Amino acid sequence: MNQRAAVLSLISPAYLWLTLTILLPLSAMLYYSFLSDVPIGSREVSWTLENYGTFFEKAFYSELMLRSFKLGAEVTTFCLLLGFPCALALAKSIGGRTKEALFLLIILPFWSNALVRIFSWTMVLRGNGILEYYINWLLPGTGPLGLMFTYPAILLGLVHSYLPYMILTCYISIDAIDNQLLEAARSLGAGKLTIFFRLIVPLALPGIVAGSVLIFIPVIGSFMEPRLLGGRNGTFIGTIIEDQFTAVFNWPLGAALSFIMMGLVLLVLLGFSPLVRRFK
Amino acid sequence: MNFLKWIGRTYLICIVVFLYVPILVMVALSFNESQLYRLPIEWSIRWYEALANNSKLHSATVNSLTVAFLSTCLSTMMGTAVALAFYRYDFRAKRLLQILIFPPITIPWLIIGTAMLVFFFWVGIGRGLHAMVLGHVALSLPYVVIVVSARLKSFDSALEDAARSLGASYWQTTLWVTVPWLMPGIIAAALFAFAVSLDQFVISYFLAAPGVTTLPVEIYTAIRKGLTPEINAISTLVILLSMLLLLGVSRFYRFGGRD
Amino acid sequence: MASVSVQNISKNFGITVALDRVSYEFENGKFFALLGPSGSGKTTLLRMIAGFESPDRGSIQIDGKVVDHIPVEKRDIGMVFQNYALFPNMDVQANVGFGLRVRGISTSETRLLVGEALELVRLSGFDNRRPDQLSGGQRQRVALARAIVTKPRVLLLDEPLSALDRNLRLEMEIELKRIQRDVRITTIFVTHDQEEALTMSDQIGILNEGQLVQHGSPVDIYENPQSVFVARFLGEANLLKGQADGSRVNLNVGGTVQTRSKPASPQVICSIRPEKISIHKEQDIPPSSSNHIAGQVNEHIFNGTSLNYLVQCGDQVLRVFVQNLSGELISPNTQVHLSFRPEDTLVFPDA
Repeated sequence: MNQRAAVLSLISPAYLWLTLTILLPLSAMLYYSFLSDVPIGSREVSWTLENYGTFFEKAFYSELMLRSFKLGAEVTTFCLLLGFPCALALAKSIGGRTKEALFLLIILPFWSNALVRIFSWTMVLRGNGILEYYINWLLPGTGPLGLMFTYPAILLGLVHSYLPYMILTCYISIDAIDNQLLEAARSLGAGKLTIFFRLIVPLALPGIVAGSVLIFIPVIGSFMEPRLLGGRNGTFIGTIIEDQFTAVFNWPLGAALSFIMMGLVLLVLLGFSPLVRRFK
Repeated sequence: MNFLKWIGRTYLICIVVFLYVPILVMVALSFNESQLYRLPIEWSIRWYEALANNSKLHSATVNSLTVAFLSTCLSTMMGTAVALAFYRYDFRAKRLLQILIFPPITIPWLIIGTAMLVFFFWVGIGRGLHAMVLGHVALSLPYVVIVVSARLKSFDSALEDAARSLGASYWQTTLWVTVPWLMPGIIAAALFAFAVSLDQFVISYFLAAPGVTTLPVEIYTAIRKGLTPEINAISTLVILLSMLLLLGVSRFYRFGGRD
Repeated sequence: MASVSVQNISKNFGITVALDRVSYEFENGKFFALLGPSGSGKTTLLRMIAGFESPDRGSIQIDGKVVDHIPVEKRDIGMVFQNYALFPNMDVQANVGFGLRVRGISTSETRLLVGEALELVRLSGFDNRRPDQLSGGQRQRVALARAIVTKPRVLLLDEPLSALDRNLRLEMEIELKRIQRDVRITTIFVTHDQEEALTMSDQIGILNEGQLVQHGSPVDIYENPQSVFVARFLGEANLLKGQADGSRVNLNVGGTVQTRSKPASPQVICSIRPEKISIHKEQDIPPSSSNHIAGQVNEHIFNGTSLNYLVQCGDQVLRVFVQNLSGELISPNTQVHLSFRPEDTLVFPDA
């Protein structure tokens, strides 16, 4: 069997599938973003840049976009601050079976149902929920906490959802650092902080970057989490886009907003790429 | 140093507690008698009994499992084939194709979901279980390729050469030598794909036809309508199933670990 | 059993030349070694005979039939790989029986043939072990049994001993040779280890930079190397530059020597093997028919069976191996004569 035929027979089903489900839909969406209306039945549809114009005309959208990017940045930062030490402790301070078991314990929730985990937080945070109940039991007279349906609630839920991503990617790169390298550094007189900032962080940078990208992108596009935990305070660009498709049926606007969002995400990633290249 | 290790371990425990406490709270409340989640908990299994009579949830469960089963079969076969092609051959555009397998992970699901909605509507595929299968396969493909490729990394290609030198044809070699060797990776990938499909909410949400939903979509709609402990009960079952599946995966695939 | 004929084969990988117009006849039933440094093309040549690579130009015949368009699995060869490539998901029985299984041979006959093959490699009773339960030497034997159980026409061995430690390697060399003699199968053995090549093979082909630079029996190649490369690669050689002067050579380190053949160019390199040199203290009179040059002992190394000297002659250090007959050592800084026969003094043009 010649190579060409072999390669084609192995890869074409998967790539045809991806064409049908990713490439063509994204192209269709791009096409829609330039239409004046959804082309159903006999509606008059024309080409327009109006959908993109809307974004720049109404401050509402750009403010929401900014709010989403701020949320993305904050979630990513918190995940990094919480997750990196965790990955480090996991990789370097314990060994053997405990390590494997703990690692599994940490990443298991990561693959289990995201929706269910956000739902879990409503159980904890809501008025008369567990947290309020026990805090009032400990400190009578504290009264309602008012945590539910706030920005911090969304932040908490998202950090909880995405933290294991960061731990996973950082763990992989920290675990790959040879202990002898760290010992060599110590034998040369490097202190713990020097080792941490001059060796561990730079060597773990690929993991940090991968984790950050894998968190930042989906958080920007999140809509279920803000809706469930933020209620009326949970309006972000993701929820607006969702509305265009499920409630308002302004598909062209939703499409345009999606592409603006992806473009901006791409810009952010490009902005960070020199940092990545430096350490490659 | 010991002091540092001690801090490290304590910190790890705190993280695990942070990750699990909400889930445990949710599970505990599924066994609470009170409709209004009144505390302290009075233990009861009435919400699980209620599940038994909820026909909407039954059909959503059947739908979820059907979609997960079909998309697992398809994505495992196609993904394994792709991983094999990447492993065995060097060809033009290989780098590009390797990158192109990842958009399902790196583009927000919101955008992929809405794009599928738009496109499927446009070309007449429409919404429903078939559309969900189409979408879920695309989402789990990259995971299958990653897991199977990880296993292939430690494959010695001399095994294939050896089989050929002993007279085995291309397909005999693939089926008798390569695939059996890959089996743990393929099983892990399949369980993974199953879990991904079962947990997938966003794509299913956009592609669900009226009256034809999956479990996560059903749960979401229920939450938005109003909280009842019945949702806790079904969520508990769902999360139990995912965890079991992933424990299964971990038997065959070391997440991020070195082989 | 068959002969293999390689005719004028060339192969490039990108810009690197893997093989350059190599021709060779592997005769029926003999043991051949393909010897060369890494990157010399020896493994490529072996993989081409197997059918894993195809030549850019030239042709390969097995038993007089062109096999260029016959895929590996139809060539009826047996091959042993560097790391044995035993199928980890099969036990010894299934590994050895694999070739029979794909040929559709019945279970009972397979059992019989596998038993015979395992007996031949002295591994009877290991049928149900898995590869990871075997030692390196045992895996090697299983790989060999698997390769010969189908009675292939040619047995190809790709550095099969390189993963073994020294003692095991010596044992396997003898074993391999015995089995080859028993089955009388045409065997082609790729190695970078000159000792392995010398002890095991009937014929050696030496490759360098994609070219077959010399071939012949081990003794022939060792005694009559046709280039500086071969002289140095197979065994050790002291190389001395000099100018041709009629039928003699004036060495740069001093002294004039008679060489085996007449120098063919004005600038030459003389090659003398260390064990062909005898060493004499200054006052001893060397035989007059020999070449001799003067030097001073730098260092002596005593290793039991022989005495090795490093002797400074002009700006060069020569190695001299002397059999330990007297147990007497010449101490460093002693002035000595080195003498060697003209027929042991090979001469090559200096490129």
